[in-house]
Amino acid sequence: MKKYYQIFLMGLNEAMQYRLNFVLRLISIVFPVTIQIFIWNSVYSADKGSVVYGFTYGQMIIYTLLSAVVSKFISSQGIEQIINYEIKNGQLNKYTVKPISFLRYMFSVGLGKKIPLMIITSLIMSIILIFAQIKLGVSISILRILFFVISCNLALLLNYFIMFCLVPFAFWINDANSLFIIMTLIINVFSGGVFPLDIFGDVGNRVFDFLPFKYCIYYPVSIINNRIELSYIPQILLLQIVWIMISYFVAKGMWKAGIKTYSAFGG
Amino acid sequence: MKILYDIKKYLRLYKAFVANSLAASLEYRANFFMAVLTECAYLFIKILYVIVSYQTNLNINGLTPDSILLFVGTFVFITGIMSMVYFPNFLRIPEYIHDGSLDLFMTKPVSSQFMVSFRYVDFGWALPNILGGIIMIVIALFRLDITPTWWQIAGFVFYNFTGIVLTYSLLLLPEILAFWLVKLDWLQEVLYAIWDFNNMPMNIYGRTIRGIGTFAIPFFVITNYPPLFLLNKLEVYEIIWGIILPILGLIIVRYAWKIGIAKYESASS
Repeated sequence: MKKYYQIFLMGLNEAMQYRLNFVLRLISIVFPVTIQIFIWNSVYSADKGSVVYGFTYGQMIIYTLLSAVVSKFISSQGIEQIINYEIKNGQLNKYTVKPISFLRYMFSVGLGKKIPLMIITSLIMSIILIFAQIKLGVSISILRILFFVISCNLALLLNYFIMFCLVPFAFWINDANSLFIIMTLIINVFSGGVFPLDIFGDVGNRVFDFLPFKYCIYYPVSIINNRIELSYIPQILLLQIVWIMISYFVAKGMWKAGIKTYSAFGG
Repeated sequence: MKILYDIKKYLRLYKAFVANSLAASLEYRANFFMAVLTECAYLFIKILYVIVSYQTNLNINGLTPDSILLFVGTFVFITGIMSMVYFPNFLRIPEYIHDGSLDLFMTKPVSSQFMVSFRYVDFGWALPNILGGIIMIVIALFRLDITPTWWQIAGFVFYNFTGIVLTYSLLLLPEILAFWLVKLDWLQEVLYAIWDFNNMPMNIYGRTIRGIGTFAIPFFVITNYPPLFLLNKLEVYEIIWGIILPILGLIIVRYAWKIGIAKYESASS
């Protein structure tokens, strides 16, 4: 465990060196959120008290703001592209001779790199929640905030393991980076990172219930948004854990299958 | 007559670039295929905005969902042209400047600005957007139940063209900053995030944002003016602004490039 802690610190150190760059990158989430806020303002302009897709105006604004921030909070930050690079350039060799597991190594570096992002996004989320209480009149209990924090962290793990399920494709596909970009976009949509999943209708939503993505953004935000009953939350958290376990084992199996085809070209 | 000769020369050169890029994309078919798929994913997200407009029966100052579809179609179409003609080149400019490969372009007997602006053409990113954009525009016209006059069609095509010309200056100008700045990737990210503001008609934004997007950072002019003209909603001052602005942009970007080149001192040994 100690060695992975050191690797974690290494990742954290690296992230701190490029802090300005990544703060500026965060600006880019402001734009899509702005567009959507204007859309919702127009939609609700006729009647601020109306309910659209089952959301009140306040709930919709909180959803729009928080889903964007949560999607940054849980993002894998391109760790899959780094692994792809290592595989394509025969760099896996240097790990196979070390007494560490490559996946655990990458996971620890990734977590370390995430710490500054997690701190900043948590700050932004706190500001949004205070704003929600004061301006939008949506009251949020301490208990829900606590569940939200737990759920976000579980979502982070889940999103990581889903990405790790895709990573082994780097063994089989030439242009795996494009695949990662496509999948990141699609997963974000199916997680509810662009619009609430309710836009896909009842049937679509039923399908999403059987996929892990909904547990990455839609459910965590619904917890804080008063969109689901308090008594239903433990079940959500439990299902998040189940999906984390499933994706962990799938990722491990895929990696095992992939590494068999690895032949250390280049390097 | 020299100018005619020059135009002919550059057109011939561009034809060679297109042929060369086409040959490359035919050779790396898997890359082409992945590029098409990637753009389809982005297109899917753009279409979600249209779906939400229809489902909520969104009405923006008299623009119905059908007219919103016309705006989004125009935006998607021009995005396709942008990613075919400009994007594959502009993305590389900071690299040329920082690693000194600009030297190679400067020694050619043609304009260095032309070389860095038009050397590559991409087909994979463009295809879904150009096709998708045209389909959306046609569907919107049918649903709006308008039969445009020749004058309206000509104006629509004309403002698409001026929009594409304006895009050249608006997207190239920030890249020229690479002569002075080392790290530019964040700026590119912000730039293309601003580009996506056109995913919705500019009427949806408040007065201030609309003003900024029309006069200060005039991205709204690119994709809003063609459908506005088609719907007879383009004001007289906008008709004129839409013509002056692209010309102004070209002049500014030309000067900026010259100043940048004068400052350029190559790289490496």
